[in-house]
Amino acid sequence: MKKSFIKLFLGSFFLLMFFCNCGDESSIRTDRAYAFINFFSKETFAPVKLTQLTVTAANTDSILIKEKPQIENAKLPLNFKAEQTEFYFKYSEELIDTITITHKNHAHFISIENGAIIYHNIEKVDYSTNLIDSIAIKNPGVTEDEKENLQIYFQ
Amino acid sequence: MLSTSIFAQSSKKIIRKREVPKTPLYQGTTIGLDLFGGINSIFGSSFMSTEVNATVNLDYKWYPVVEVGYGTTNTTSDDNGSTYKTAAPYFRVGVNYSLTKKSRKDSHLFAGVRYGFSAFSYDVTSPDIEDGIWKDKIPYAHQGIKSNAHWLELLLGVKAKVYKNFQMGWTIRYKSPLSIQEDKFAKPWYIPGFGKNKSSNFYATYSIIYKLPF
Repeated sequence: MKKSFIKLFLGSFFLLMFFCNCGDESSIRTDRAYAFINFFSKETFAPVKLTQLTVTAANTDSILIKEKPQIENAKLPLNFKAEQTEFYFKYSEELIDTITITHKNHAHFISIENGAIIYHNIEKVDYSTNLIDSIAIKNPGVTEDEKENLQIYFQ
Repeated sequence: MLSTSIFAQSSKKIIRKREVPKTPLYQGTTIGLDLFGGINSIFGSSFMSTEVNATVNLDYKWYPVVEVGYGTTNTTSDDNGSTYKTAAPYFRVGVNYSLTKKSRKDSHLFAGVRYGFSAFSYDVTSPDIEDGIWKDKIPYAHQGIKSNAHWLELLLGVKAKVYKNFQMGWTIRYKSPLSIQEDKFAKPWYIPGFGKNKSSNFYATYSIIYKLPF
């Protein structure tokens, strides 16, 4: 009984060593935090798809979303240093809205695999009303967690 | 008359109260030294820990236990150059229950539960955070960020007597956090005694154990 117990002990120990050195689970890499925005209809309050949308960041050459059809949400980066980020929402050649997000920024270390990224806290949203009816702040914290931050209600 | 009396006596059931010797509740104390943390770091783990434990044997059934350890890491990411450094003690208290039926031996299989706690500080650095859209760079480094963590552990283990008062034992543990304090500028990546900051961890211990002579 004693010898078999010791054999069981030693055998299971080596199995344990293998199990505990199998390596870590892979982490999802995150390069920056994004503001998640969902689109809704002002009339029905139901999710809505825009016929086409192009989004650019003001004062940059970056096209964040390019002529995407049937789009019902957007994932947009915010400026790391400045406390305001301005976007142009272009629905057609003639129809454009401007959205200005005012936010605070601070760096936050996530993990060894990801290092640190910039978190944002949305304080205010200003917008033109060519197609936009209103914008609601649902969750002001913009982090690596992909939670809904803003809801845009279209006319 | 005499024969009737003998017959009456032999037909009676003789009931004697069987006396069960009373065994004391306290059956000894063992102290153990965990070697798994050190062995694991030799095999490439980024973390190093060692701990001692004291276990009281109550009637070979219940085993209250206290564990005190020290965990440390000083890690640099090969991918992005981030660094994380911490070193702190941790504490656990709990109880084991023998799963070996009617055994009064020192070798047995057991299950257990632990409450763990650690208060620690850590240093983190990260390469400059680059904004590819607005072309900015933000430096990042913080030292001495304070944190604490509380967690629960469920475990299975084996203990075997090897020679006289010496035993060997291992446990495999499932750890679940109760609370982990985060800072505005960082989330702790490694927590002494718990491991990586995740929703759960599996870990093991391997101990050399000595039964005290009292």
